[in-house]
Amino acid sequence: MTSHRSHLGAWLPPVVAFAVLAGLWQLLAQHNADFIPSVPATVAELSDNPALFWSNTLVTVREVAVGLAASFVVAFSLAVLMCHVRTIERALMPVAVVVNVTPVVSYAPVFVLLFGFGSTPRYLVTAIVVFFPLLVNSLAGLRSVDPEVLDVMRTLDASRWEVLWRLRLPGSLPFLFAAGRVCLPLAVVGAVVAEFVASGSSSGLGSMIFAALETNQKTVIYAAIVVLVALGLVLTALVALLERRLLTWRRGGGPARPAA
Amino acid sequence: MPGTASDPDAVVLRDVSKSFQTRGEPVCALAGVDLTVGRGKFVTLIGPSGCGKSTLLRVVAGLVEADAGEVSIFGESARRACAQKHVGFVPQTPALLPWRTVLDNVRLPLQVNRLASAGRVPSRRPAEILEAVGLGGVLDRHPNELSGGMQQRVAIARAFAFDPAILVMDEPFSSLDEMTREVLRSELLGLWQDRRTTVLFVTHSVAEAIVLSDAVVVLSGPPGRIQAVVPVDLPRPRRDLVELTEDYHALERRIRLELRGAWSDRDAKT
Repeated sequence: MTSHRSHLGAWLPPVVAFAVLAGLWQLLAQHNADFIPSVPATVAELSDNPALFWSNTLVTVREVAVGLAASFVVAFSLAVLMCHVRTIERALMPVAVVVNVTPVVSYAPVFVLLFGFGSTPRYLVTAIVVFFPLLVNSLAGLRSVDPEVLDVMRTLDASRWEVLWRLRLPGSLPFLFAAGRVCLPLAVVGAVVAEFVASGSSSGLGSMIFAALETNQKTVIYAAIVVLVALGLVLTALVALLERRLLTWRRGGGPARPAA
Repeated sequence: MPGTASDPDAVVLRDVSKSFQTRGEPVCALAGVDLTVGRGKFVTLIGPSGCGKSTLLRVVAGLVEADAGEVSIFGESARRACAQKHVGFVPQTPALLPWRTVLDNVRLPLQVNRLASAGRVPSRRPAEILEAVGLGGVLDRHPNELSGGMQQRVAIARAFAFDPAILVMDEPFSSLDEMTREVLRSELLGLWQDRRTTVLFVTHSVAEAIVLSDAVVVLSGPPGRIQAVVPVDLPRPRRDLVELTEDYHALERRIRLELRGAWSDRDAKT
């Protein structure tokens, strides 16, 4: 009984909040029919063309996946180097900061000029958007080792490689998941921005929105936004699920039986 | 086991000095320390805080390099002794890997630097050592599920796991309550009794020093130097109530007087 009620207590507030938001949208749509499509019209757009939205979603998902994966490989490798060689950190961290403060929208067109309207500029922009948080979190994670554990490893004369493999890599996992929670939505932003700039003939949810804007297909724009929201939620949930699977040791059962 | 009959001493320090840079000023932590620890002896370092006990311990463990003087661990340099996995270190905190189970934490020393211990078969398996300190039932738990006392037991078991020739312990019980400390003391003595590993142990507790050791080294400082070496010849194995004997009280009085001397030395200087 109580568990049932607390279950309800957890689910009901957000459900009500979202229902209110949908109601507000509907209300706004009814008074601004020229600019905002109604909720039913948007849902109908989705259910009428599922294949179209699905194929465009896959394109965006691929951009997010490739951009994120490439960025992670480079950022993490660089973090490992920086962690071991101070000079590399001193040299490259300022470069990374400069890249981070440069607005991505400003140089995305340059990539289109350089690489054309294919997937390359999209991968690149997505990768660059998430690069800095990935780098900083990887470095913080690799450095998060307990100095006393490091002392124990030194008295065992453990090699750098052993310290990296047995200490730094597993120790950095919580930081990487924190980065994942930030970077997945960010990667979606990167992909959509790249699709806006390099829309051309290619597909993707961002390109879809850009094209629909020119032909004034309001329901398509709103439906694509709804799909992007769903995509962000699914990706975030996947990270949370993976984190719970991999970091079981962090949950623990609290202090168990008393000592001795 | 390293060394031969020609070096009966586990640790020999001659005129060891060490200073650190603090805000640009060199601060002397150790000033000409001579210390000899016999093979298989349990020796405790005690002294006022900041007197350099930990620095001395870290010099022996190869974690800090002395500026001057001679450091010999079974006839070799401290770093060489570490390279051959002869040094077991127990830090102040348990310093366990939170993602590893209790058993896997104790296995860690067997998994790193394997070349050094190739062909060496530890006298007891990790699970047996954990059994001996009463942790046989929590082998597959993670550290955050254990109490502080249990975590420190794991840390001690880890240091015993690879049969090091010398154990170096830096106030390993300082964060535990008095009852738990007493239990852990007798467990440590139990483990030590079987193996007779050489132990160098830092503590703030006079009682702990007497109950555990063959000799208590009283340090004064800073800068750290040896005030006195008090041999403890209470019979072993030491029973629970050794604290109630006359001999114990005589030792306690002597060590406390030496400690007072170490304090007043310091006050005279500052």
